[in-house]
Amino acid sequence: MASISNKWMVLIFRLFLGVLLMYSSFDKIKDPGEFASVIRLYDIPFIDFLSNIVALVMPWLELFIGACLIMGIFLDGAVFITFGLMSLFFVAVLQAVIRGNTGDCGCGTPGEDLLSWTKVLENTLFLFMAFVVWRSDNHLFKFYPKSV
Amino acid sequence: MTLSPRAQVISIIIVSSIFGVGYNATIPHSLPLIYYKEKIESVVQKKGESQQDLNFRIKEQVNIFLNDTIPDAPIGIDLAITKEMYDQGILFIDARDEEEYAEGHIKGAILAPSTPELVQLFPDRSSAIVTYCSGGDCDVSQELAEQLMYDWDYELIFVFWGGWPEWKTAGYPAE
Repeated sequence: MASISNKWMVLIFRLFLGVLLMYSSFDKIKDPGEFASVIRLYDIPFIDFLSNIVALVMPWLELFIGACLIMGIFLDGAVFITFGLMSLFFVAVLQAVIRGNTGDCGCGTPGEDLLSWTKVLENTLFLFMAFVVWRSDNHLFKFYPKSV
Repeated sequence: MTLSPRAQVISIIIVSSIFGVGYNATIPHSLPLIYYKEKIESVVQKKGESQQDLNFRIKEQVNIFLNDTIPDAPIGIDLAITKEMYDQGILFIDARDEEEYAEGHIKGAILAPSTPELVQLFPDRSSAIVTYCSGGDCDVSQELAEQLMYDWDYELIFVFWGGWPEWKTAGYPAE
């Protein structure tokens, strides 16, 4: 696929996602028990047993990749994980909303945190931004390590 | 030194896992890494067992729960054990909404108040509490139990899985 050439747009998306991920990780890190309950409320079949470990690791993952996106370190790995996470969030929210679940989103983003079509739209936007950042192969302010 | 994207992904995931699991070990009431819904504890009547012997075993089981158990998650209990706990004067909290509570509830059970008030209502974190809701697929009693245990550090929380319908059907004290 052709690389995304508008470097400044990519940088803005990257910084936005970085701040968003770090911001949304704080509450989840503070209270993993509550985040685990929210994950279970998504009613995703057969993954209940993983809810605790996901609730423990995912917020730290968000914090670290957020920091990596902002600081320009481990960028190739961070943009890949960001796209993976955003895809996961998108699918999780979409299936919940389609099934009529209007409970707690657990997204940790500012504003109302309930599952709704607005959240689906929001996640679509984040997924698009993550895709653009992931597919760009020429990042500004990329410090360590440089591309292999 | 260069690091391939794959190595970067693996490094970030490993570091996050170490921090996540490590942090969990430092917080009070850390989460078990693998979540499991507690199985329902029950004392079933054996073939030929008299009611008296069964009652004795139920009492014995409840005493073990109340005196010798330090659970790391709320314990699910059946009707017989719940009734024995009720008879011992343990606090019951109804996790359903106000309307359902008003229609009928276990006698003496209190309605789950809004979150910040809970801590003030029950200052003794070591006393046992039983939560219940509408039985079946109802999850709010489990959620309340987890909140009490993980957020507010209550030590001994039980969830009566049969809930209000089973209690009512059994004809136990209600109001």
